[in-house]
Amino acid sequence: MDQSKLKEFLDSSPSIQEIRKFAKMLGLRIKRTMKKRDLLKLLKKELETLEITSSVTSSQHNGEERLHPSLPMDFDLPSSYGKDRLVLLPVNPRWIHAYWDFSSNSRQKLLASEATLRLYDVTNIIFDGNNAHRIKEMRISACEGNWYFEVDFSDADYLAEIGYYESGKFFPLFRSNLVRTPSDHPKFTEREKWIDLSTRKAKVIVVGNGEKHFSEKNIGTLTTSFMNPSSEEFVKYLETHMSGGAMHE
Amino acid sequence: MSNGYFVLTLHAHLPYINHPDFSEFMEEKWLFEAINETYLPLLRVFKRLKSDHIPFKVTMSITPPLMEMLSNPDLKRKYLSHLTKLIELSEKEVKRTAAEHPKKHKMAKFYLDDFKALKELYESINGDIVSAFMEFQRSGNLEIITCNATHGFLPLMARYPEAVNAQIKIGIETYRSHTGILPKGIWLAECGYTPGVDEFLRKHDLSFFFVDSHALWFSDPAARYGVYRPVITPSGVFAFARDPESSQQVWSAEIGYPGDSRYREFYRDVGFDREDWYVAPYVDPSGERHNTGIKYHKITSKKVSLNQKDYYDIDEAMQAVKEHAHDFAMKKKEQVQRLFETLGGIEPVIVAPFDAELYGHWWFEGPYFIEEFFRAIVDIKELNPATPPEVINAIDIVQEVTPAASTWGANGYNEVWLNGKNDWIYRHLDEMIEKMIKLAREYYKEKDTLKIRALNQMARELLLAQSSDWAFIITTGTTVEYAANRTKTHIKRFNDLFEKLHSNSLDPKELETLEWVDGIFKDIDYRIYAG
Repeated sequence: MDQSKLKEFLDSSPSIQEIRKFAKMLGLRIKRTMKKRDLLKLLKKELETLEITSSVTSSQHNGEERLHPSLPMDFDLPSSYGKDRLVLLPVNPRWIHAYWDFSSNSRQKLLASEATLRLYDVTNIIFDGNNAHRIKEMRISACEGNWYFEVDFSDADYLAEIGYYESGKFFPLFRSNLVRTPSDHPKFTEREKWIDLSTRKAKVIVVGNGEKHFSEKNIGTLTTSFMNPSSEEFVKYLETHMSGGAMHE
Repeated sequence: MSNGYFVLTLHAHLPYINHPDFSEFMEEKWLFEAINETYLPLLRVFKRLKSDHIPFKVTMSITPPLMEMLSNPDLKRKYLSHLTKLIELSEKEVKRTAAEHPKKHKMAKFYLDDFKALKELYESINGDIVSAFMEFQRSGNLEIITCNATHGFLPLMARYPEAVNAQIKIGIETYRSHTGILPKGIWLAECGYTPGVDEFLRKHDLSFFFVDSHALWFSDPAARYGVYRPVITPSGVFAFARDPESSQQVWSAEIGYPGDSRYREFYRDVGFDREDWYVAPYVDPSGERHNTGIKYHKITSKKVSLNQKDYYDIDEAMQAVKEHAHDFAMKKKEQVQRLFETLGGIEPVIVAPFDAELYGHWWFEGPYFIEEFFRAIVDIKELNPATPPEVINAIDIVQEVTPAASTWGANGYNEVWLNGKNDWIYRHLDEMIEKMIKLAREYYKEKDTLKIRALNQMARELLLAQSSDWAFIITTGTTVEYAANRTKTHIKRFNDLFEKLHSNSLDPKELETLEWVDGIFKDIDYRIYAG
């Protein structure tokens, strides 16, 4: 941005919307609460800085960039990295997040068919493509995207595939990582493993039948959320609930 | 005799915010406020307790980005100028309030003296806050631990061992470069644990970490004593779990101490209450108003609106501190006695972790509460304040369990850092991680200094983008734009460097600028990602 353009703009008695847009373009830090005169003040200050620096040095760079390279900006990020990718991330015991991206090859293939995303419950099995306990399925477009799956079980293993249907048969193209939903219930055992810290030797203690586990009486509860993590109410709920150690501003 | 242990843990952390090309930057003030309201006041408390021979024990994580910022010359200079201006403002306030109200005037004088004392303290320790805290580690009162490198959220990067390993290892190296010694334990960002993370801790000789309560309620198998005894993971690292009762007593919105009517009201501040022209020199150059730290009102009642709050009185608040510290001490005594009995003569370990900044910054009187609490338990022989290494030394036998995946975020899992508002982040972070791993292997024996510098800078951009703070703020915060833009900017810088590295068009000048503005971890070695 050179100073004459900024000067010209300021002389054109711009509207507040125009000023905001212009200031944003310059990469200036503006706040929603700023009034027109604040914005004008900011631009005038910028003009002064430009005048000072341009008299010192001439540069091929944009003035703002040169002056304030650390300023975080609202960059557009790549929407696709051009690779086949299907990722599962655990949200909580009952929700899994999936996101995906395509190579141009797969994209072509899927454009011509019924692109499908499948989520498999593969808890305690070696998955061979056909033996999942349960399958959830949805149609997707041949574009990068994401989805939240509500699942039936905590502490269970899930895996997903993207593929297409042809003559009623599912053909997988690629597969996701394996993800385990967090546990939300206690697991009691009769055989506890204890380590003697002086010898580092392990020993198994068998818990008597009649003996009531201390933890059985002292386990707290957590609210498992069944709200869709992508919904607005859900985020609102998070905003108002404190974290374990803390309360946040 | 002792009936049990009390492990007070403070997690001191702020994301890396450094804008050396700006004379003032709004978000840098988070650090200055935390120094003024939390870190220096805590140091003062520790000094007083020490000189009065009170046997206090606090576990404190000072995260790598915080250590880096606390020792950054630009930020130190800016902090001093911030404090100097604050003293100037308090001087004006002392004059102005003389004609306003005696209670305001009393507080104005208090602030002036207090800020001057803070400045003296800061100068007396040569602006070296980390070393000042370390002195209390040497005297056996503090156990300072580290945190993973940039407070990255490990449960969502667990698919990449190289990325988790880098977060842990750089956390340890940064601690060492600032303190000269190795940390014994670690605070995992957001208390975020997922089975397997402990293996990386073991690999780097960390002896213990912290988890939230349900990590042991739902562990495999359930921990015999619930959260009241540490456990050991299959890889041999001790896990200490949060006691929900202690957190509730201190922080609950309904019954927590900080809500007492006599305590200082956070949301009334001269930064908002005075005229534009008057506060202009003390707020952001854009004119955007913010807290200055000079506050004249007390909470009064949760039912009255902000403009109906009564004037604050520090002496009245200190009375409340004494009452609350005494009450908390009694509750802890009662709790260890009760648990000691139920556990059949085994000493319970009560773990109470908090964000450090909540003491002082949020709850103004918090540091004094800590002080009075340790004074109050001197005579309570049943309650033994301790650090995790001391607890570990005192136990003979420990149960081995695998803690459950958990965090201390709302609801206890990952939703604060992964929901409809911030899920867009992860496809970029994953891509960056994969590229970084690949490059670290490909360029492992690189000799060209410019390329090496670019690769190191890419590692920095990745680590900075991983800070859990950005996703957190996007979910809950008021500075969403800054957090989202920080994420995007680090991703963009990484991607640009990647392109330039490949097309052999690295620009030394540009690289130098990035090394300046994103100059965290100056000794980083990208090859850490080779695995």
